[in-house]
This record gives sequence, structure tokens and C-alpha cells, in this order.
Amino acid sequence: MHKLLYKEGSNVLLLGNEAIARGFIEAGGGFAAAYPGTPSTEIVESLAEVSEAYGYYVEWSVNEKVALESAFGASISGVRSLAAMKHVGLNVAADAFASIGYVDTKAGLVIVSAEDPNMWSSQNEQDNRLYGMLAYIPVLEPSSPQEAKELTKAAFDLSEKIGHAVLMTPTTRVTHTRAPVAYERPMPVKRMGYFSKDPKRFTLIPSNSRSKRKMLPEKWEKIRDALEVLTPYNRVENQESDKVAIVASGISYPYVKEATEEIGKYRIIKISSPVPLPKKLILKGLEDVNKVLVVEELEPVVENQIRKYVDEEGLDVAIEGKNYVGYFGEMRLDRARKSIREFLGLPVPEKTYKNINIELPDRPPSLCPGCPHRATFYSLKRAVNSLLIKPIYSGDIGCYSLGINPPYNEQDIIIEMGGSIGVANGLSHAAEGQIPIAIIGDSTFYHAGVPPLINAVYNRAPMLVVVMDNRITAMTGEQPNPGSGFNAIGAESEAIDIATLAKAIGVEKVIEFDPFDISKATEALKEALSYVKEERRPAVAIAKKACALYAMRIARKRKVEVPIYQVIEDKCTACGICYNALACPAILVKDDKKAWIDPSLCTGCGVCAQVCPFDAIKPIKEIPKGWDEIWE
Amino acid sequence: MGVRPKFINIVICGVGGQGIITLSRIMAESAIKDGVNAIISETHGLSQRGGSVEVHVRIGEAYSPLISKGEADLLLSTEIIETARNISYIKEGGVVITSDTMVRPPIPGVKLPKKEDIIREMEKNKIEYYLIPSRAIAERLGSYLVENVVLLGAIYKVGGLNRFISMESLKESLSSLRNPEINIKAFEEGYEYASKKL
Repeated sequence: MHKLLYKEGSNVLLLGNEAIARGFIEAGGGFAAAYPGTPSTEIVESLAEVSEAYGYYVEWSVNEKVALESAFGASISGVRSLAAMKHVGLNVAADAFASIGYVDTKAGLVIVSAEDPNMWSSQNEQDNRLYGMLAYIPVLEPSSPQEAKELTKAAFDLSEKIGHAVLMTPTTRVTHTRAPVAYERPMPVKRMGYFSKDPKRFTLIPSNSRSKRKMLPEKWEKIRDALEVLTPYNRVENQESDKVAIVASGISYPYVKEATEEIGKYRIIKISSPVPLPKKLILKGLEDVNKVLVVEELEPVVENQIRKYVDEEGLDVAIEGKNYVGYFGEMRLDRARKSIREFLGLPVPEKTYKNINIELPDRPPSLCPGCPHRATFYSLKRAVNSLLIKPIYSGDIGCYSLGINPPYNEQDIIIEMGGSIGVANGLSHAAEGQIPIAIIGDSTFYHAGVPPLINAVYNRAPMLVVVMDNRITAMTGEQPNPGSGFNAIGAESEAIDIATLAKAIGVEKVIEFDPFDISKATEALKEALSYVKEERRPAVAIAKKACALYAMRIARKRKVEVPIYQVIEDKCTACGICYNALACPAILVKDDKKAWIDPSLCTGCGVCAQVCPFDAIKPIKEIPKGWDEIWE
Repeated sequence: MGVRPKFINIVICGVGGQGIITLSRIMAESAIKDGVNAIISETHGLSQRGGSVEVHVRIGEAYSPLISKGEADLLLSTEIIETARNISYIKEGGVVITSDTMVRPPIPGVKLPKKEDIIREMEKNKIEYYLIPSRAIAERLGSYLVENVVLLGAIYKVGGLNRFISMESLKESLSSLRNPEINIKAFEEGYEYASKKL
């Protein structure tokens, strides 16, 4: 049975994201939308797995902006709605987010932005609690999976109580932590509602916006009042302990709790609603206190509000925070311990660490065995070299970002989703004698690649756009996208063809190719690059082949045996092309420098057999029937 | 045996795809069955693509999800280069349970360290370690996929986990895996191998 289907009263080991999903279920949520992104993906992924049993609507949206707008649309129809995304996804959704605060929502609207301090799988570590301040949207910050579930429910209640969207900002250390979560009874799902017209309320034309804007500060104070009683998530612990207090926001709480218990009993002001910070609670926590340490990750969001309150009340309390705790990265027990002890004037224990004094090779993540991106990078480099052009590889966010590594070195710029084509627009007009090659995946193309491609056609920006279409959103774990042919709950759906779309936009040169056919792929890329060079217009080349992990899953399902390849010992000359230039992780080097293919890793893509100049790599068995189809 | 400590800190490391997250879940689910708290913290995203992976498991009355360097009671590793990379997690008196398997990072011209050098360094540092031929054992049992469970058997024998998790709960969790028989066999083989080394 799926974990999210267990009965109330169960105590279940859940990932923080699954706990948020369970919170949505217990709150009777009727609509959930998201664009996948680590560390947020499992919220809607797990909701999709059990949607049939509970009866709510769930979708993978084309991007975060649409996910948020959709959830808003459902909310004002009277259905409890959730939009989930990773923190940088809120940038994409920001246009909607920044104005939703002006509108009175109807049914609860909860936006989850999974934060990633330390950038475990992100390009930056922006603190989205600041977005809450910018947009007048309250922010809740859970400290554990259990609390993430409870706060999700509290967020729906709060949202309805104040008629306002609520943002929740769990960090990686909540969303990707597994801990036991206690289940309660789900409320009945309200799947459909009714939209009652009220243009004054829902249309932000300037005259309406002005009157809404004037009311915002007052509404903000009502929200603050509501958060004063967000117990037990906001609370003061050990009130009897005076003189000093330590404030812990969100995930910093368990670290502060553990670090203080090692040295005694200290007053802790635990915060789960950093924006707006409840003032009365803080003042109560600061009674009989002459100095306070604020422990929070990233920006001094809570700290600055406490400074304001202390100033407003004329209190004599010394406020410390970032000067002890620092800005960068996520909280660690060590970091909390050192900050707190230094603040208290206690000695910080010296630690010695075990050390192995040997040089160790790095182990960066790499493209999987049989990954079609590897084959495309290989052919693209050959095409570029044979035409003697100077390429700029304008990269993007996805598995193909790994093309940054040797031996490919085919990602020169990576900023954000869709940035490959956007940045290439500028490069094509400003970088002399160079040709920008934008490299983008299928999901990223649908997400944010279409407008910059329209821009390239309309403004005549010569560039090659290589769409690495592996049929699904691979990096985050194989979620379907508009090109996959099925939706979040596995129902069939019309795939939106990238080549047709590019042609409709007005791209003259659109070529599709099979990246596993190295010579044809190289020819296709040469043709497209020559067109860009000579015609000075954009071209689109689409590499079509399924993600290898996805293909292997289909092979198992259809019981198609993988045709593993092997190296013919006598023919191998130890030239190293297969393991150095193609660099598939399934190909290992023996002591005599000859190649050996690990049968447990080989996915039967057959690309190594084509790049071997000595015809030394062959499949062990005949290629089975239905093999090509699993990669479609 | 004395009083059971409040918690036990375990860092599990290896290469993405070696079943590290599965191991952590078996431990935590078994602990919960026994009414003991457990927290697992993981990092994925990029690291699942054959990169280094570390998962932190805390069993008992612990609050914070991450284990600091020098504070792990146990380091469980499915790959020996990763053992060396993560050795600083081990506290004074901590125990290392490592596979002897070495996985080559797929980097052109990569220079691999020697197993013997890693072992010699552990000895020089006076680290208590158990070197488990998990691949050979798994191969003998007929599945590469159970290497991780062989190591689970070994850590259960030598790591003091039995003070937090009962054998019954562990075996029950293993029974819920795809191939229960071979997984339970792998667990027992690992357990026995470690017993002989005691």
C-alpha cells in the first residue's frame, strides 16, 4: 500500500516533501500543481501517485508561473489549492506572486517554495522569505517533516481565515529529511467549486490596485495578529530562564535545541512564521532578557524585524545574529554550537578529525551509461571541429549541464532555466566571429525556451539551438512534460512536437536526428551549423532519444533483454577513444589499457561500438525485437 | 553493556546507485517499528548520477538532521574511495564498516588510489575498521544488487545498532524488499563475516 494511504493514527517514515503532500491530503486539498525541481519534486510526485484514491486534481505544469496561476484560479473557484516549486522557481512565478497579495483569495492557497541553502542542486541560495516581504505574503518555515505536515494544514486554515495566499519555505533539510510522521484523519476533498464574478476584487487595473494597495498594511497587521497565535509552531521555551534568549527560525530550531541542551537550559524563541514576525510573541520572549542571539540560515530576515521591534519599544536588548552565525550555507550542529557558545562567552571545544592522507580522485556526478546526451555532445564536438567554427556553448539547467565536465567541455555559460537560448540572443549579436550553440532539454525548452526562440527568429539572431529531447524531465526523476505523451497521473495526452513548434515559430532549418547514430547525427549537426554560419539565422537541431534510465525501466517492464556489448580482446589496441573521448562510465580501463565493459552497467546503446576505430566492440547477443522502440 | 546512549550517529556513503538510501530507510523503518525515533538526511539531485553520496542517519533521541564531522559513531561505506573521503566524520573510538569494492570515477585519465594505502592510513590513524568483501559475497549469492544488505549485516553485528533496533524488525523490513530471500541471506552472510572478524 502507498504510504500516503495509511490510516490515521499511523506513524510513518516520510520524506519532508511527502509530509507536505500528506498535509495537503489531510487539509482536504482539491488542486495541486507544480513544476519539478530539487528539492521540491516529491510533493506533487507523491500526490500524483495517490490522486485517484483521494479524488483531487493534480498536474505537472509547464512551468512554475503557470502552476501558481492555476492554483490561484482553483482557489478563487473555491477549491483548496497548492502550488509547489523549488526556490528559483518562484522567480519564474514572481510576476503572479508579487500581485496575488493584492487579491482576496477564496479557498486556501498555499505556495510551497523548497529552499536550497548550500546549493546542493541549485544555481543560487536566494532566501525567498524576502519575497514574502516584497509581496505582502506571509511565510511559514517548518523545522521538521512532522511540522511540515502540520504547517501545511495550518497554512490552508490561515489562508482562508485572512483571504490571502500563504508561502511555505521548507529547506532541503526538511524536504529531503525522512522522519516519522503521525497521521490524522483527512478532511473530505472539495474538488469543484464555483467562480463568482467580482471584478473589483479580481481585476488589478490601476484604480482597483490603488485601493487594494492602501489596505495592504492594515491587512498585514491582521496577518501578524493571526500568526501571534500560531502555536505550538511559534513558542517560547524555558521562559523561566532569563537574561539571554536564542531565537531559532525554521530548520535552525533542532540544531539550536541540541546545541543548547549540551550546555544547559536556555530560553529559546522558536519561530515558524518569519514573515511577518509576530511581535507580541517576540516581546514576551525578550522579557527580562538583555541579549539575544538570532539563529537563522541565509539573510537576517528575523533578526532585522527584531531590531525594529526592540527599537520601536525602546528596549535595552543587545541583538546579535549574522555576526556570529554567518550568511552562507545551511545550518549544522557545529555551526549552531560555535555561534551559541561564542555568544554566551563559553569555550568552543576543539575537535580533531580523522584524516586519510592520500590524494583522492573527485567523483562528480556524470551522465549515465547510455545517456543520449553523451552521444550528442560527442557528435556536436565533431561537427564543430570539422567546420572550423568558434562555438560558444550556451548551457542550461538539466542533466546536460554535466556536459561541463571533461572530455566534453560543452557548457560555457549556465545561469537559469531557458537561459541558454536567451543568452545566445545577446551572444549572437555581440560576440564577433563566434557562433552561439544553445543546449537545452525538452522540459526546459517547454518551460522557458519558447519565448527566447521566438525572439531569435524575430530579431534574426544566428544561433544553433540543440534540443536534447530525452522524452521526460530526467534530472528530477522522470516526470512527464508536454512532449512525453502522458500526464502526471499517467493518462494519455497529445504530445506537443518540438519540431512542429519550431517551424511554426518560423525557424526555417529544423532537423531531427537520432543521437545513437553517430555519423548521421554529426552530419545533421554540420548541416544545421552551416546554415547558421551562411544564412545568419537561427536553426534548431533536435536529438530524439529517451533518457537511458527511463528506457531501462521500459525494457524491464516489456521484458526486453538489454543487448550488452563487449570488447573483443584481440582487436582492442588500447587507443582509449571509448573511455577517454566518449567516457561512458560502463567502459573501464584494464591494467594493459585495453577497454572492458562492465556488464552490470552497460545499457546496450551501441554508441561505443560506433566510435571504436578498430571494430573491437560488439553486442554479446543479437539485438532483440522491440529494442529500438524502448528508446522512443 | 552499560546505559544505552541517547542516540547513535551513522554516516552512510558510497556512489549514487549503490542502494545507500535503501539502507538508510531499512534502518529507520526498523527503528520506528521498535518505537525508537530516527531521522535520515540525504542530498540528491545531481548526486544520483554516479556521484558521491552521503546519507546521515540518527537513531534515538536526536533533534538535528545533519551529523557534524568528528561525531559519527559509525561510517558505513559501499565504496572504498568514498570511505577515505568521508573518514573525517568518524569520532574518536568510532567504527568504520566498508566494502572493499572500488568504483572508478568516469573521468578520463583518472588516477586511482591503492586499496592497501587506504587501509594502511586507517591503521595508522588507529581507526577500528571492518573490510567486507561485499561484492564477492553478493556475487556468490547471485545478485550484485544485495551488496548493500551484506554491509547492513556486518554493521548490525559490530556497530552497536542492536541496542536501538531489534533483529526481528530488521528482518521484517528486509522481507518487504523485492527479493526477500536473497536479501535476508545477504544480511546473514554479512553478519557472519563480521562475526568471524571480531
